Amino acid sequence: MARDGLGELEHQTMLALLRLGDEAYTAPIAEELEERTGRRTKVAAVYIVLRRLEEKGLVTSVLQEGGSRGSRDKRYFQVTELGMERLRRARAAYASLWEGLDSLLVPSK
Amino acid sequence: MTKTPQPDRRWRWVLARSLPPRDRAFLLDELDDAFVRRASRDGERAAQRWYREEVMGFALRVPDRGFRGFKHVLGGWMMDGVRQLLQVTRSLRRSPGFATLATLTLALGIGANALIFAVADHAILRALPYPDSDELVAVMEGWGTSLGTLEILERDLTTVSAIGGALDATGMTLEVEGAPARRVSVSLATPSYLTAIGVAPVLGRPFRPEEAEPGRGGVVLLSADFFADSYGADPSVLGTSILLDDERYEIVGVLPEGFDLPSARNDLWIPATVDGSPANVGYHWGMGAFSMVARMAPGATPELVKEDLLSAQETARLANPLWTPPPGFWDDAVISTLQEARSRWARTPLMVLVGAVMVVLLVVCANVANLLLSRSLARQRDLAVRTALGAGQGQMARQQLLEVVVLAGMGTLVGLALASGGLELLRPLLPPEIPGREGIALDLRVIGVTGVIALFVAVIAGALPAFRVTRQSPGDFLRDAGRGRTASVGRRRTTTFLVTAQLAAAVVLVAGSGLLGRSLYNLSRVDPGFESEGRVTARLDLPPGLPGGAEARALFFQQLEETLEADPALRDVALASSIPFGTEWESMAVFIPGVTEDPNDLPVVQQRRVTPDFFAVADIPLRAGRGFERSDELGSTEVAVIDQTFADRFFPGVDPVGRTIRYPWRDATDIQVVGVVGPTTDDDLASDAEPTVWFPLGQFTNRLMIGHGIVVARGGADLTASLGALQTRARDFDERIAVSELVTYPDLLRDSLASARLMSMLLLIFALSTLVLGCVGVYGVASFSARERVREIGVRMTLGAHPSEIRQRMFRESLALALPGGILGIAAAALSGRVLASFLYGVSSFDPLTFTVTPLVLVLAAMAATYLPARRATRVNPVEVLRAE
Repeated sequence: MARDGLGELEHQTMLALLRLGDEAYTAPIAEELEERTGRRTKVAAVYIVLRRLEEKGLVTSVLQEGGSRGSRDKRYFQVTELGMERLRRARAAYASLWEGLDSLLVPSK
Repeated sequence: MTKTPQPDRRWRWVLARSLPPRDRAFLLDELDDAFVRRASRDGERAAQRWYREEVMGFALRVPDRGFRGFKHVLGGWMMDGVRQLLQVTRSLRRSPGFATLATLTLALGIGANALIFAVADHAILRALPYPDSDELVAVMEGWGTSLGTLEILERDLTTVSAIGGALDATGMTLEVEGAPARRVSVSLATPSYLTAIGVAPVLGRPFRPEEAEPGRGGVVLLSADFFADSYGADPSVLGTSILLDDERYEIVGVLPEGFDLPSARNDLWIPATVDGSPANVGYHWGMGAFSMVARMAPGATPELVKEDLLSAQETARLANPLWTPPPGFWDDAVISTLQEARSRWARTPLMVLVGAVMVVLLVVCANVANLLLSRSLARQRDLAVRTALGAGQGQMARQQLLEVVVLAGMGTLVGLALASGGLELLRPLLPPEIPGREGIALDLRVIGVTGVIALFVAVIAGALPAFRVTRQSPGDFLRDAGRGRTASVGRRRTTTFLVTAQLAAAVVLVAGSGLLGRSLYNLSRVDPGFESEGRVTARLDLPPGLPGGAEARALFFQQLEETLEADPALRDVALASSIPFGTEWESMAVFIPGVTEDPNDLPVVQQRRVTPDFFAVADIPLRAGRGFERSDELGSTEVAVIDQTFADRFFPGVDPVGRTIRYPWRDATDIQVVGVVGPTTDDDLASDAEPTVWFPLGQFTNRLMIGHGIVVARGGADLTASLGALQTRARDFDERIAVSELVTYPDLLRDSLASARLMSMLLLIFALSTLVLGCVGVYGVASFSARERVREIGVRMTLGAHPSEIRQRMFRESLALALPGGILGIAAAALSGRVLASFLYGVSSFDPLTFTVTPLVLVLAAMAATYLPARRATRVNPVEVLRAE
């Protein structure tokens, strides 16, 4: 299970990547995560996670050359089918764990 | 158009080198973009900070292709270390109280060691700053030689490649246009002296060999300080000339800063004239005060040089036309490396201080170990959770160690700052026996050694707590932390041991400092045989061109004395050729008919020449016969007064008055002993009085004329005013008189104790530091046990125990710590007391008073340290405590 499972940051990164769609580059992903989770997320951490995910085949990337007109290099990331499959499984696992616990989430008092 | 903000170029450079090449281009660009976005949102400053953090993130995190510099130099495991280091720093920042206390404690120990090491290193360990300085030897260390002997050695010694001699700090009068004449210290050095040492002038040229020939001298080298003070370090002074004792000398060079051979006291160096002609025989063979330095030939050792010296002994012995020394007179000569010879006097006191600071350091280690133990206890819950999460014990022990290393690092920085402050305070107090004191600095070498010391401390202080962490099983952690229980028996034992050891160490230093203090007190109460209170002294050098006749000079002295005495601030004035505790030292080999007559075995005694009022002014009691009178003048019978020591040694059981003594020369006349005065000590209050002969100054016994007079005067209520009057009156009398060594007599005596005082002061500081640290330990244990047993105390008090009973219990516990510490400490102090024996005066190294008072001080200090925790413990409200349970 451990080998198959997604780490928290991996999980979150893939979600952020899906949310960003066409803008799914490393630095914006970090910013997205920071915004959504409210936690300082370093680009370096995201970069490492993305590379690991790529090695596992969960994401792929394409390098967009900036070309001559002053625009810049970017590496664009996409979740693969295998990655989608993992996300679905992870979501199902969480959902089943959460089942019946929703009432606990209401702050007491 | 506003400029688009850009990330700091240097950080971008670091980033570029931290990134794997494959991904470098796009990551750089993306971060640039992100930077621009940040800058427009949060402002440029915030964006820069963000960028720096990102760069650090890449530099530290990207594992396989991290920052190349780091990676290549340090390797991956070091990167791991850096990460752990950051973790430790964060955790220390969370407990600033602990971090501060530990840092300061470490700084104290490390700083004290850095300071003393810096001094000891310069004085003892460091190679002298001359080329191949290990080849330099002091020939006949501590003895003077004549130039005649030096010539023979230069010719006959085969084990040395160069040898030279120098006279130390001869006083000469320097006359400068438009300024009062003043005294300077001049070393007369043979050109070979400076070449043997290998010192090169920083400006100009050294002496030339031919400048030692008669009539060829007339050149002078300046010390760097003299060059700076007198000429503002202006190089154009080279080639100009100065007037020294009425003779012209051309300035040919400046010696390097800190050059201190034959001693640091010299302002100028002039060539010693090597003149063996019959007219100069007295000086050439009689002036036996040249200290010699030689450079050993390749392969030679000090032992071989000594053998060489002994084989030249017979030639040298028979060559002396003035007198023939006894055979084997060099047998006891000492040949030692120059390094050793220079530091001989500083060695023992410095070694004692090094020992003391090492004790301080060990106490600091124990203290920090204790602090760490307490902290690891406070963090037990944290540790327990981490253990449960699978953190290895090795990892946690490593973190503990790393924490100490970080603390030791901070302690080193603060300690070095303390040491550099301390050095500036200490430098002016260092006695002149410590060579190179101006050069003492916290340089790279000292900092390096300090670093090693700090690492040693970290390992010693950190090992114990780290070891305890690994010994405890995770179960223990969780159980103890869960129950809110704290100390385990093992930890308690460790703490008790550490505190006891600290107290024992404190006792050793307190006892040592007590012994030195007692000794100093005894010294300050020694009766030197004369009265110094209320007296002022100064050295007056007569104008070199003064008419040379004995009559004229006698008159000059008499008029000078009368002029000085006319000032109301100077009641009773006397002149002397030398005074006890002064800088001049005169001796004579004395021939006493019927007592000491063997010309090869004449006793050497101290001689001084004084005006008739001297004994009254200095309050030296007359024991028999008479003192000097005005009628003891040129042409009348030559007379002498001897001191009690002389009388006891050479005229035991007979009345010395009426006996005669003589200088050892062939044509010397009889001098009649007319009186006996009390003995006086000289230079060192701890030493016994030397046999002394006093002569009337104006009688110029055996035609020995002097060119200076040392004034001793009874001053008024304000000695500073008397010193001022002394200077003014002397100058008014003859403006070419050079006034120097203007000082009150009590200060002169106090100065002789300066090194003893400094040493006992330093030892006292170290002793008090260890005592305070020991008390912090006791305080820690007491307050800990109070907190731990809050419940027990609550119950007892509910059951009617009186607060005083509980307090007494705590005091008893502290006593149980202090007593073994005291006993161990006293035992150790008794063993180490012998080291101090050579510094003690009038007190044994097992002084009962010191050895009784010290443990009492310790017990009192321990009780004082327990007072606060004890009071706090009994202030708790029992009901609250029990409810909290």
